[in-house]
Amino acid sequence: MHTRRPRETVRRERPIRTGRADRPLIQPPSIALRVAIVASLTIALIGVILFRLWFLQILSGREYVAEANDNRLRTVKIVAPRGIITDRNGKVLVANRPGLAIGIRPMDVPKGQLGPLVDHVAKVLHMRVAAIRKKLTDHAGVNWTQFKYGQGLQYDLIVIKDDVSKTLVSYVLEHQLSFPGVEVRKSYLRDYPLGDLAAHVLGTLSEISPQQLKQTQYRGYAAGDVIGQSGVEATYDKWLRGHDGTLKVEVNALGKPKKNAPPIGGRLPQPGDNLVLTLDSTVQRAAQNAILYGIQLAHASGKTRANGAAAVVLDAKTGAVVAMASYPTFDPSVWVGGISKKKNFRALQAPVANAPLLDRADAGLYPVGSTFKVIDSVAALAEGVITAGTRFTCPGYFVPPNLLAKMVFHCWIYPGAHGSLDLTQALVQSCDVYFYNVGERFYERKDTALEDWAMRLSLGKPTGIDIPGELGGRVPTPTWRRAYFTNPVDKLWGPGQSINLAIGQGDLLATPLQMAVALAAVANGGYVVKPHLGLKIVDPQGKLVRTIATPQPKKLDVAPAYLATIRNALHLAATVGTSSTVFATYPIPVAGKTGTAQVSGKDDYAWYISYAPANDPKYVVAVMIEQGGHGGLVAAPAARMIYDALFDKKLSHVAGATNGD
Amino acid sequence: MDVRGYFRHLDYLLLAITLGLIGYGATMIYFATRHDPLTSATYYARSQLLYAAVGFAVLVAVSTIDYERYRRWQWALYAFALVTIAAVFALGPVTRGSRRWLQTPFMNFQPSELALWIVTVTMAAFLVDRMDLLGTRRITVQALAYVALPAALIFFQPDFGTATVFIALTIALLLFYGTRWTHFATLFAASAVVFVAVLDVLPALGLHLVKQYQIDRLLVFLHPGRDPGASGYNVMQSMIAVGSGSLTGRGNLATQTQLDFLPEHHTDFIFAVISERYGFVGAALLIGLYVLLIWRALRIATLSRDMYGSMMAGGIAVMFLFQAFVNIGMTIGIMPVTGIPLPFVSYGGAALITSLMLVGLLESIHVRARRAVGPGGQSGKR
Repeated sequence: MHTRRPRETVRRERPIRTGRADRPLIQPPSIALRVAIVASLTIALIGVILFRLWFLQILSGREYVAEANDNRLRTVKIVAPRGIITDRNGKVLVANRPGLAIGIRPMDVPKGQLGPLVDHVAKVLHMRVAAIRKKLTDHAGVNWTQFKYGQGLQYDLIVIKDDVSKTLVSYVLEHQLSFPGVEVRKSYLRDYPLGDLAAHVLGTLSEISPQQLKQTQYRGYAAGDVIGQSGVEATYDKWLRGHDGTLKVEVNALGKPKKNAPPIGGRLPQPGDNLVLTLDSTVQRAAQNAILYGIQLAHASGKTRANGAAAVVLDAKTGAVVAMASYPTFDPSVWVGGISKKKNFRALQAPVANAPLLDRADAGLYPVGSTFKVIDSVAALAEGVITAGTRFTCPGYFVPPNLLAKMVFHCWIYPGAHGSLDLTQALVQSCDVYFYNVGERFYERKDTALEDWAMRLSLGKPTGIDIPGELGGRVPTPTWRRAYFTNPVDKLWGPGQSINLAIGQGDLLATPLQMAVALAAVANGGYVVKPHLGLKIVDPQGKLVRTIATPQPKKLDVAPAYLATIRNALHLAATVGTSSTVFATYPIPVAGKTGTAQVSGKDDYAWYISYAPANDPKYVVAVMIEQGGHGGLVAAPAARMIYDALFDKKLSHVAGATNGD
Repeated sequence: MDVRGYFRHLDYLLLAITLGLIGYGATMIYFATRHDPLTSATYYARSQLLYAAVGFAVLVAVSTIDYERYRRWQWALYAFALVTIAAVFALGPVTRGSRRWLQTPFMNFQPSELALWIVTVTMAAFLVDRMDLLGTRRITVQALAYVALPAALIFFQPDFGTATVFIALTIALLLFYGTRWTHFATLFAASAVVFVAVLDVLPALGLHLVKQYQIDRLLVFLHPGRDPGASGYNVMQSMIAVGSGSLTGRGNLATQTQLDFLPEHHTDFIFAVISERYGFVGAALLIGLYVLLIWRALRIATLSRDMYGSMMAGGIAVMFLFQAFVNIGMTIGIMPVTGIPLPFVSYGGAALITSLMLVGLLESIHVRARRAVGPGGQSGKR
């Protein structure tokens, strides 16, 4: 411890007496040197700052101005009202109604409160927390943890639930303080004034999925957009949706628009155009009632397993779809505002509901039974396999010649017999043996002429109707058989295959729509039409925007006389043949072919394909009742109900008869 | 007291620079806060001017006192500083996670700011009393121990920024005291070791001396874009504000400030407000004022009648330089976010009054240096 020094002022210029032996006197430090050191340091640091400022402000100023503007300007989306959908007569099938949606604007949610807010909103809206989180994160394209910590934040309002009840909305508005960032927005919701009418055709809407956003066909769409997911809502989405408007607003750091500040710019929303369909709502309703009636007839005749059906009504010349019905059907309004997975969607998926979402008219694949004989006839005449006068004798059964193992194919009339008949009589009586012979002759040719004709008549591939989800079915060919089966014996195409195909049995699968198109070609003189639902697009004021082009039908290379023979036979079939009990006395001449397709383990599938008037075909009507039994008994009467609507006849319920196949 | 002599020997240019800084600052505080919905447009600017008025009264008072008195009362002053800082831990309210204030009937009082002034005078006194130890290792260690007590207390408030100002002050006083450069080199090496230990080694061993947010804030300036949601947000917004000012500023289009994208715009980030509104020109003008301020302080250090005055003036010069550089550096993304205010310009009474007290001290040194020389201005050898 050194001794305390007296408190004397240390003069800068005098040496200091230290009292230390080693250094009795020391020179005070040079203040000038210290000042120079600090001054140099000052210059250096100021230089660093000025250099940095020069870099930020002079060199990068432009970019930072852009960033500042990015900060303050927000574009708000104004959803455009979607166009409405009407039938060909202007009857409204899908309308809009105003609704209220509740959404979250994540930017307005205070930091760290997003988690509790979502829990709270879930409780109030009776939604699952995970569902809300998914909506938020799908929108932002990040996972929940990232999102919670502020990544992917956007200014957009993310709709959590659409079509919210007024009670809920007023609850949220009254408790605004406990819902920071939650907003109520007006929305347009789909309304279906005619209930389940043409539900499969119209289709449903829902928010675009993250997967769809990545697809090229959805370029220009944004997360959160509600789009048509099925039916014409999907096909004509581009016209129906209109153009969303935008509003540019200046916002502060909390994302709140400045009070009383006028919007800086933007674009008014352009409402979507209206879609006019080829459907006739009266016929459509009749078709839906008719297939239900067909099922009831099936039940009455003891076929209690009948629980699905479809009907297609086409304009015979253009392929315009007048009606397309599928049973069971669904109420499209359950999708409005987002279908509830728990209740509605599961109910629709339940086995007991029997797949109501499946459009049986264009995506239900069925063996077609005797209705295929029409296609046989076209193929056989066109290929010269037979002539109109070629006769075969029906002893009630058929044994193919030149076969090692003896096989027997029965006619439906077995143990009875049709005796000798020509093509017309064979079609009228729906004689199987006649067509077994035709099939055997095709087999002898060792080519695929019959299959080719089936495909030319629209089977085996989608018809190209303007709604998504259509299936193409299957026309069995030797090539298909080799590829499809593994067992070497099954791989072989034997005469049995051709013979079975000739009466629409075996591996052939087709949709009611395809059969309607095939028959239309016979009815209209050989033109294979492309069925279509869209007629025209009109703007909200009703002015035509564009006519949806009627696709050019494909002309078949078949002599008109051959088709006339078949038409004559089909007319006779409806007046004196298999469906005569239904149509013999009908004021409009009808031509039609019944079908009763066998499916192992199930009751027969009932078919009726027809057109009218027989002398000048206008409409093609195809009806199929799953496990309905005889076509003439259940499908033909259903078709007659549809004709009642088409030709404005008094509703006349007629029972059919098991008059042949 | 010789009133005429006092007025004759005041450094009026220093006062003018100080007034300029305060006026510039108050104007920018007005522009930064006039849109604040909770207060009237001029509330913050008026408050700042009120603090400035109080500060000027204190400045005048300090400038009239002969600083030689502080040497006599140095231990009492030092003890007062320690006690008031320590009292904050017991009595101060917690605001934003730290205790920095004491509530008195008249005004809120921030002991760490006053301690800055007190430690300037007492540590300089401590060192000047030990000029005979010049060149010894012992005095360097003692000086460090001397500042460690108040600095540590402030560090644990926690107020990292103010604590670092104490370190800067200590280094400046040791520099003017005449400490050998080898000591500075050793100190630098030691602090590097401590830095690594505190930030890296000790947390790995489970001992957290500094809070995570302090580390985040310290390091985020290296990558402000990495975490724009949290710590980096302030720096990003500040850099956008500064950069968008370009050469001459955005004037009334200064949206970063006016729409609140810029955080703490009237306090810590006031420099960004200036840079956005008046651009490079406005920023350079402010920096010019600081250069003048430091020049005046260093000039007073050379003029001082004694070692004690020189040391204090040098310490004050370095302190202003340090605060201005760290604050401006923070707003332009080259220094960590530490919460050190921009002297004379940032809104806040405690810091402003302390800064004015330091100017008062400079004036006191100046007046007495001139009077010692006499009216003729010739330095008479005695």
